[in-house]
Amino acid sequence: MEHVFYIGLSYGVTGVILCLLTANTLSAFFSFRKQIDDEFKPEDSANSP
Amino acid sequence: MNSFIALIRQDIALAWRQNSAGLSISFFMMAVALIPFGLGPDLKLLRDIAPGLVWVALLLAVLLSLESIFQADLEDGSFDQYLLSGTPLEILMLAKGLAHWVGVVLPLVLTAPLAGLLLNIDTPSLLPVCLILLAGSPAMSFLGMMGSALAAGVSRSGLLAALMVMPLYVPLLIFGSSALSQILKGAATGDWINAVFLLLSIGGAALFFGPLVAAAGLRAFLK
Amino acid sequence: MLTYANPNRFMQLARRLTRPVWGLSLACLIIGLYMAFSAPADYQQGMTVRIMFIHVPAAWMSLFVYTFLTVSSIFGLVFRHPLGHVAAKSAALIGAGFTLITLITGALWGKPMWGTWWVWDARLTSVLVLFFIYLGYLFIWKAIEDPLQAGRVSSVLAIVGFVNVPIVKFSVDWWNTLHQPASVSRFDAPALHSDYLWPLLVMALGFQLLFFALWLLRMQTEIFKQKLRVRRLGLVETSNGTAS
Repeated sequence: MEHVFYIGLSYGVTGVILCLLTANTLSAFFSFRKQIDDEFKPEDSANSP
Repeated sequence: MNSFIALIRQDIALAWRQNSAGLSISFFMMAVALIPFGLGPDLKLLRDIAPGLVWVALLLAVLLSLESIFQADLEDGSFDQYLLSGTPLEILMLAKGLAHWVGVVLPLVLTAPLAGLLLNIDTPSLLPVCLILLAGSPAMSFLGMMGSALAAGVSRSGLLAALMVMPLYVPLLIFGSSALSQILKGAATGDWINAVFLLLSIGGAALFFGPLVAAAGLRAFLK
Repeated sequence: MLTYANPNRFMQLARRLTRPVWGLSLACLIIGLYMAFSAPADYQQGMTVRIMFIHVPAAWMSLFVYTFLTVSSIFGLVFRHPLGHVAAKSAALIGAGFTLITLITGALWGKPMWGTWWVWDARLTSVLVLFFIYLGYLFIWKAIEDPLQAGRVSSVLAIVGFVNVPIVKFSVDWWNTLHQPASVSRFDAPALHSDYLWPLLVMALGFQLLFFALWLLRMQTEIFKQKLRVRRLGLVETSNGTAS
């Protein structure tokens, strides 16, 4: 049964690292996209009513 | 050519005035002397770990001295003069590397075997030990100046330079300390002389690439 | 004009590619995981052979991403491609992540197989050095405020650090170590049984696609940041202009 521990931990750690990486990437992406939308939208609608 | 020699002279004079070599030697001696406090006075154990210990302490001492290569220039604005001087920046970097080697690393390497006495290295081995360290010393300066130039201008540049240079020092540490441990085991000259050539060839490569990379790093900042 | 045209074209492409690449990557990873767990136990290594299906692809990725990073850096530094530094920066953290996975799963595989978490052999040491180089690269970006400056300096570091990549690759051939030599990418038939080869390749493809999926998003984020910076600088300048 010992090997289950090592296999489980390997897959678990890999999953955690990849999830953290994805979360970091997605949160930065959405936060900056929102900033872009906030800053550029009002001007665009003002320019072309 | 004149500015090349003038720069070497000026940097060595600066190192001498600031006693950079003395500072590095003191740091190295203290680092070596601290280990027995932690490990206890077991002379056999100390002798066994002496090769790695000497190399690690030596490389740390060099790492701490790296910040000084470009610090003075950054403070007094000499970099702009370098760019305007007409001499290629790579040549000037070669001069700075040579000055660091002569002014700081060479004195350090020549006194380092004395620390061996503290670690129970027998006297006949001191000369080969010195030879190995000497063979590794050009690489220390010229690999080090890459990191120093890349980190120049950043606040706390010393830490960043050390972080970047440490991976590059790994081959020196591996080949250097394995040669040292062979010497201490009393191996024949033929067994460790290859390491001398290996360290020298790393030094040769660093002598060529170090100034190129340092110049590229500084240009990246100044442009 | 070129500096503007290029990121815009890239953004169009990236926006179209992001979703399909994410989908394909997740599909590959799910199929790969299923295949990995239905593969038979190895007669020598037993069940722990399953760790290979993440360890080996992650190790490939750590080298691939660094090579990608170096090539992007060269494009940025030498050919002054406007997206070069951004592409390198976007790849770095992902590469560091894969390297960390390689190190951790390697330790977890080494413990039951070799009886120790870590041995100081050439392969393991050089991968650890690779991880440190990734960290140094990331610290440069943190330490230098001006992105143009940071891009150039980090590119020089990336190119210098590339010497380590061949060392990692060939360390098992040059020095005799505990770590086994490459068993898939050999010119003759792979030494790996197809029961193991297929899950390995599917997982590797999954990791590769995951890298591109993450990289596309990070690239877009960096371009957003650049846009915002340019705009804010422009606003400051125009407000100064009207004030004086």
